[in-house]
Amino acid sequence: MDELHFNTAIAKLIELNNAVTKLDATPRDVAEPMVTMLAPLVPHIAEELWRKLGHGSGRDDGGTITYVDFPVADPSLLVDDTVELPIQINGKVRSRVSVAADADKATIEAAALADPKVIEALAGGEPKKLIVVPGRMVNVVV
Amino acid sequence: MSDTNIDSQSGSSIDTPEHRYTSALAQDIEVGWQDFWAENGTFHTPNPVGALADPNRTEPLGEKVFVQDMFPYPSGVGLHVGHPLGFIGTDVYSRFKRMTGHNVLYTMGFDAFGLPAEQYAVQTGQHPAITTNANIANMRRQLRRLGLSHDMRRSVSTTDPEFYRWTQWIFSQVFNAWYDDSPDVDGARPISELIEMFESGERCTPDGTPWADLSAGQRNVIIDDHRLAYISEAPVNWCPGLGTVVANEEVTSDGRSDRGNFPVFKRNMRQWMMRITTYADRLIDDLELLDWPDSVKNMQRNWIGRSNGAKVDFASDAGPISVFTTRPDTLFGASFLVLSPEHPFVDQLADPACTPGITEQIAAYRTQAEGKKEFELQDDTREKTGVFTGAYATNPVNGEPVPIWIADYVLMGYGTGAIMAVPCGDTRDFDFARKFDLPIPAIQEPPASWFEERDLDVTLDTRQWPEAFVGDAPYVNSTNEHLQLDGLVNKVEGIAVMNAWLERAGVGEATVNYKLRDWLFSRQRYWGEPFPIVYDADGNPHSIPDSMLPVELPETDEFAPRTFDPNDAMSNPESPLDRLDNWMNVELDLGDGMQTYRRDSNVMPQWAGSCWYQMRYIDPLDDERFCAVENEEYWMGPRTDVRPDHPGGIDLYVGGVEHAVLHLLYARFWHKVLFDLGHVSSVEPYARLFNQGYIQAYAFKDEREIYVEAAEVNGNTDEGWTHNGEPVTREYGKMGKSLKNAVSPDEMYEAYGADTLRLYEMTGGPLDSSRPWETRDVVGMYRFLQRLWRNVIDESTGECNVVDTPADEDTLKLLDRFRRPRRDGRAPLQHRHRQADRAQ
Repeated sequence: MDELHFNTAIAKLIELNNAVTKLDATPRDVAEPMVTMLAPLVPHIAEELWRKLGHGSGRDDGGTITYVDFPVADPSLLVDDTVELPIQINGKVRSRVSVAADADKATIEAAALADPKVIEALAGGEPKKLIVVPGRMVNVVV
Repeated sequence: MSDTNIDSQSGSSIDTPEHRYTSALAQDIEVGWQDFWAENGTFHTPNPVGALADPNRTEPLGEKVFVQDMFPYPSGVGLHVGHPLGFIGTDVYSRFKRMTGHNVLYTMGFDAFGLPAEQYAVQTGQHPAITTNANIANMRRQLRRLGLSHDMRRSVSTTDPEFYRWTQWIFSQVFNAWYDDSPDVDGARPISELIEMFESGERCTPDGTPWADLSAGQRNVIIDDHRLAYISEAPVNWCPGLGTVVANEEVTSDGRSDRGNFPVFKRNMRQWMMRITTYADRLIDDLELLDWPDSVKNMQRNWIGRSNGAKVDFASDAGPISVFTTRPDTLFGASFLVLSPEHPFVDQLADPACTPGITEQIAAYRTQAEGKKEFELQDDTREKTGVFTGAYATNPVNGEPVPIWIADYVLMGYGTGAIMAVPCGDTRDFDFARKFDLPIPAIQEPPASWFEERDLDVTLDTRQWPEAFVGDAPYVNSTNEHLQLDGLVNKVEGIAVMNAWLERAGVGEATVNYKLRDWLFSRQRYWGEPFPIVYDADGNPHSIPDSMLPVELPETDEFAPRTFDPNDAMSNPESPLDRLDNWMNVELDLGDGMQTYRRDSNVMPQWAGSCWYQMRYIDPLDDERFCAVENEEYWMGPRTDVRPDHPGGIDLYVGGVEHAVLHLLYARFWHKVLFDLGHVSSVEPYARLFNQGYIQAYAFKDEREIYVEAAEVNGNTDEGWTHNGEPVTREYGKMGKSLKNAVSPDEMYEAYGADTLRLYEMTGGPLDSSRPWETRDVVGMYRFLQRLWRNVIDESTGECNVVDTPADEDTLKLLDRFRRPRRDGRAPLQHRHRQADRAQ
């Protein structure tokens, strides 16, 4: 949102809403965060649904979704969203490492260096080169 | 409220469930909530102090965020769906920030002085204020219907006397300031301090005469020469067709007015100027502090045009001829000089005894040059013309005699009015040398690839070169007994070595030059801010005391300046205010007892109000100051917690890239003056700038090249397009009334509702990219909202039908995949991805 790329947020919200449509009934713990996440984009329908969901009549929130907290992700569910990256040692795939899909370079490096095959190949030394392409692969030159 | 809305929604067709999300229901919901927000002041944002303070709210709302759109001109035509793209973007952003613990300042004003309302007044006799206020009311209605979360208490118009009172006050601040360029100050100071320095002798007068020995008139001249707003008899852009002068920035590249497309002529006239040039270095250097698109920063850098070079003196019979060059390293290649036809040395150099007929030749050349306009003179593709004066100067670096020419592409107003020509390294000089068969000594050896591309063997015989070589390459033939460039390969080194030699040899000096000129600040029109200035019997300007502001525009029924034949270059401006004798002559006591003064008949340019409007958003009701210190500091003060060198300013400023050098440069200049004088705590007005894209659309033309209504066109890309059975051609570009492809937001509110329109506009790509408008695609977003509604509401009863059983793991994962991460300092997902991308 800070980068003003609202189109990607919309695409994901449509995907979520489509998934919800397939369910027999809409669970409240999905409906409420979905409505709050849509509120900046489509504030009127969001206000209306929020009210229908039983909120917004109290004085503490001013009767509006405007100042309701934007949903916060549950990190335990985020971690599950992992990818497996191949680890090349001297150009050949020797192992794989699982990291969070959005892991940064440093995290991937640390994970790769903790891999048993890499530890074995390094035999206590430092790698000559460690190349990380996030989302793609790790290349260790020993 | 919501229940009433839905009850009123009973008249739909039998097939449609009573509580389906239809366009009619959407409209009821939207208007209902817009009324609710207005009645409850939902978007009212508290200030730390003053009329809008609410000490109970500032803290709980959290960290401040100041979000602003470039405010619109309230046009009478109304909005089309392309206009609000940026406004929707800032609204989504502001609403998101409110939901993540921020105190958000977000409102919308109107930049309402300007020509269209005045021209309408000229045609109809209706006062521009009436037209303007009606247009503002219509635009406010259209924007309110979009559901924008503005704090309307802060909405201002630059035409409100309570607003322009402060525009005039800031003008007075600029008028009563001077630029102290001493290294320990390097900023604006009040004129009163300059006078004290002259009186005490701390500062010498320009010619050294003690201050006490000068007459009042002489002192005034010296003071006025220092003011940051000053009256100058200077070459200006006179536009007879508009009846007014215009700024350089308002002249198009083909030398016409950007408004009205009339010819513009260079003329000497008495006009108000702003000394923006004193800020040239800071305006360039402080770009480093800004989170702005690089393209806009570069446009400002190029507009200011700072270049390091040298002034070099060529000895001649008329005395040393000074030239400014950005490439002193090429001095060995200077094989002739070109002077402006008006250069003061020309008559002395051209000796009819040596060159018979030269006086007549030069006179004839001057006559034909005067008929040309500046843009023609600067057009490099034009056939080169010139006259050899018969005289020679001496190239200081090698003692060679170089012929002195005159040519009209050298302008007296730029640099010294003379240039050294280095034909081997400059395209224009190369063409000139070829045409007049002048020598072209090679001083650089171009790389082999340069010759290969031109199908040549490597050679330093420039007679074989098809064009000049422009770029870095090893120097050749560039050595004398005190100086060696041969062996060097880049111009930065070359310039440094040459500049050092020039200064040692006493034939030149290193310089910095700028393209930026002082800002022409007066217009001979009616619908603008009057100047807070009066003239005494001797014609000296005095600023009107703050207590007498605003100087309101006088009533009249003649709003037009006198306009002239667009080609009548020698006509003179006559402003509408000039004719109002009762207003022009005024009795005031400015400290010397009651005296008669004459007002200034000019008005300010349309850029004045937009130079500072953000400060009035902050404190719209303050009648003691343009903005309370505490409030400015809270909303715009430097965020040293973000970055030690944070300049302060608005946190997010969204607008079109077309304002890159006009509004954005002027506003930065005024802000810096206000900063220097201690009126604001921020060094820059706009910390982060974001250029939104545009909504583009197809337009259709018939065989007569006339636009037809795009909505009535049938066809497709394979079979072609028709209008009423006639073939038409399709083009892609802007949306607009004149292109007959404008779609009004009102049509979309009626067909789908504002939420659908907002979503459609935001889904077309990142906010900074342009996107096509396709009315038939809007329904996709409408269907999404209908599904959303159905997932929460029973369409037959209108009751909420969600269940309290927990969601399954898969759905929760889908939910959490893109939700905002915790507020515990972890970066948002998207941001971390971006960092990872950059790290690759």
